[in-house]
Amino acid sequence: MGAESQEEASDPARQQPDEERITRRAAIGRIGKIGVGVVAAAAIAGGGYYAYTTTQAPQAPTGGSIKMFSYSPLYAPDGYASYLKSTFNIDLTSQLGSAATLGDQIVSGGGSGWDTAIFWGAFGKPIINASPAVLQPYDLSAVPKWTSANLDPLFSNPQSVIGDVMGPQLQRDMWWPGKIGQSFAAMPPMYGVDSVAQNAQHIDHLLNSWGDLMDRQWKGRIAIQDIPTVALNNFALYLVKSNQMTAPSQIDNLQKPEIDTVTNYLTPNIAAGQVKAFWADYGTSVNLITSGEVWAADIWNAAVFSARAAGTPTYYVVTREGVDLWVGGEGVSAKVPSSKLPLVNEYLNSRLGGTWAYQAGLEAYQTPAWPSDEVKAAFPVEFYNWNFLGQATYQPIDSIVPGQPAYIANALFQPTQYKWSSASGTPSSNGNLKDRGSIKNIESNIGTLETWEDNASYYISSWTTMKQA
Amino acid sequence: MQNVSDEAFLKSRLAVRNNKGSEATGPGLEPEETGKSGKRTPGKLGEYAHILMLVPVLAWVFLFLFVPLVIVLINSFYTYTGIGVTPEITLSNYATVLFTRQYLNLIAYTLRTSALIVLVTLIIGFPAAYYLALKVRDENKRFLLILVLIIPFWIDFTTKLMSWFPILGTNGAVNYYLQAIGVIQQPLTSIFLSEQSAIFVMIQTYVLFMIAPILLSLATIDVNLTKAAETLGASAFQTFRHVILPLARPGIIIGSAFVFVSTMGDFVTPRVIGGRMQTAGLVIAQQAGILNWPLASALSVILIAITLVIVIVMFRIVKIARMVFE
Repeated sequence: MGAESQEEASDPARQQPDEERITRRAAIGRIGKIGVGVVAAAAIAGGGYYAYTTTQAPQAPTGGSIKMFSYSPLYAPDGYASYLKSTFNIDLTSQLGSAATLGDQIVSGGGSGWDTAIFWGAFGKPIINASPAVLQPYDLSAVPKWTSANLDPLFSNPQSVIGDVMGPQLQRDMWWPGKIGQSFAAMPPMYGVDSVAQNAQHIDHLLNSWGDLMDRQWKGRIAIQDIPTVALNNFALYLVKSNQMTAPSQIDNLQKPEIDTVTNYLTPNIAAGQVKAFWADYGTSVNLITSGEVWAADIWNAAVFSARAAGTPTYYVVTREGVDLWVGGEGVSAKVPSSKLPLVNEYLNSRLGGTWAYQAGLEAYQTPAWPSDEVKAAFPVEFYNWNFLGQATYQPIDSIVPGQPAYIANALFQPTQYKWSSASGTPSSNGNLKDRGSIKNIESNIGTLETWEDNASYYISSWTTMKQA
Repeated sequence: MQNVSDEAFLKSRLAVRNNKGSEATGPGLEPEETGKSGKRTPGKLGEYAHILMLVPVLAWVFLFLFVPLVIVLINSFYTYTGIGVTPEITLSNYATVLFTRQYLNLIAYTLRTSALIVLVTLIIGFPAAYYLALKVRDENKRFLLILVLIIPFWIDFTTKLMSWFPILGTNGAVNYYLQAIGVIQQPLTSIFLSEQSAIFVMIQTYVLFMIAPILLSLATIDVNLTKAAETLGASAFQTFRHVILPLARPGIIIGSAFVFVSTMGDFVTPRVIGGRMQTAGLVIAQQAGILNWPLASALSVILIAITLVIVIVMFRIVKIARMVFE
């Protein structure tokens, strides 16, 4: 789907007639299915619905509550929740599930108990294709801020950034089946790229490979995530780039022999005690780093800042084989009534606005609309340039984190604690740089996409055997 | 003074044992009315009272235990499509579990670990229960000691698990004191985030499940029996071996069953504390996580069946029903 066709699809004027016809047809169809004897009753009962959709413009929502289900507390920080309340009178409540069993929790619930659910591509396919449906599609016109002018090219033209294999896959993880560019299954409120975190107190140079996690000098000081459908692909990246494995046709969807190759590489390492722990939730991953039990791990970017906040100097490094792209998507429950959709749409649209982007930025993540003017305006200039463009802070690191060598001080830098300047200024030559640089740099190094694998069960059974080594 | 206290203690024990009317009742617990014959004359409602009393628990068990178990059983025969489940009946899930070495190893390992934890909690829990039931006579003291055992259960389970980091961790209290007293020169890095640490934590977590039933069994022992044994010349060990232990057996069996079942299903402790420990519960969670409910269900059904057989055998061996209800 090119940018132009997406623009067309996003044009409310072009969308409205189709939408109206469908709604009318659906309403008439409903009435037609009802027996003649109850036509009068149906007309009365259905009249309000019909009149609302055809003769009245949708009313602006007057507020209400949104129940959101997600796998991370980062999707509902206080700053964003209070913004929703003060601006839209929306009470956002969030319910947390386990990242490792997210698909199970969302699908088995049948869409009950929440209005929206946030998941990422690793669980996208079964959630989007669940039967009976747990999600309902929502039209592009529901989120008017989703325009190619606002978006990172990763979303307006994925193939141009991540190629012809991962690009279409990313689209399938966002859009409703058969309606790419028209109806969302799960619009991304946030995305990021994962790599390796390291404790700077114990490792005196920057690691630069997924393979470094299996370096014997860190034996017993490594953690890897206990989500085999994600972890194995990262090590496949390393094996391919180091010529220990033939390049798979799709590195984010390994076939059984390829999975065997990766687990065969990992098994002797596991048996030798290279890996101290396997983590499956955010809190544990942070604890492993801050407690000093683990010196390097394939944890999430935000966990690095949590570790720094706890006083542990931590870096998030560039893995030369490529980093691991994940895209969070927010789906709307199939059980949300049409009367509530305007409120839900307003909420979803806010996910592309400045306030939410700022909150996500504090955790080093970004929203698809980070290049938009609204997002730019929501950030202090210095923060925007640091977070998205890879520019250094105006202040040198020794004045931000005094009394520490630069290597440690930079690993303790916290964007939430630094006083960002709203004025244009000159980046310091000794200023802090965001780990891994600008978004453009990071996205040019994407090696794999977290998406659903056809052999997910085999990933787990191989992983189980590996851990028994 | 001591004798008077002993006498009162014995009376209270006998009252509990024999359920004597005047001592067992209190405000709001008046003895039931009796008819002319001296027998109870319950009303019509009273005839069905015992059935009505069971209705809430039966309904609860039916809805939230039996029905989910049936769903798990049905799912175990369904087919995994790669993104979900289709109701095509197959035995392949059971074949995968029963004829694949990794799953058999997993089941054996989980059983072995649970059995070990049962054994250790019994060794630790029995003396504690014995002390609380038969040696502590001050009710306040007993209450306080039981409170100490219960307080950890007031804390969120995950928080409790995380609190082991500063205790057992490399930079934790245990390593600190071992270094301070010169037992070790360098911190032990292998004691935490390992199979051993997970077992240790599970023992701490579940020991109360062992203590409580044993305590209840021991509390109903007629102290006259132990006095009689002593009078007849039995040594302390003989009294324990031939009087106390047989009477405590229902508590031991029930406690063992509680601990065994709980540890079989605990996948959080191995996940957070267990390092690379891999239990059946963890794999069930992982397979369910990718919506392979049929395989997760088959593994669950097999584990439930094994657990059920073990518990039934345990109960049969000691004829638990007779010992509890007679």
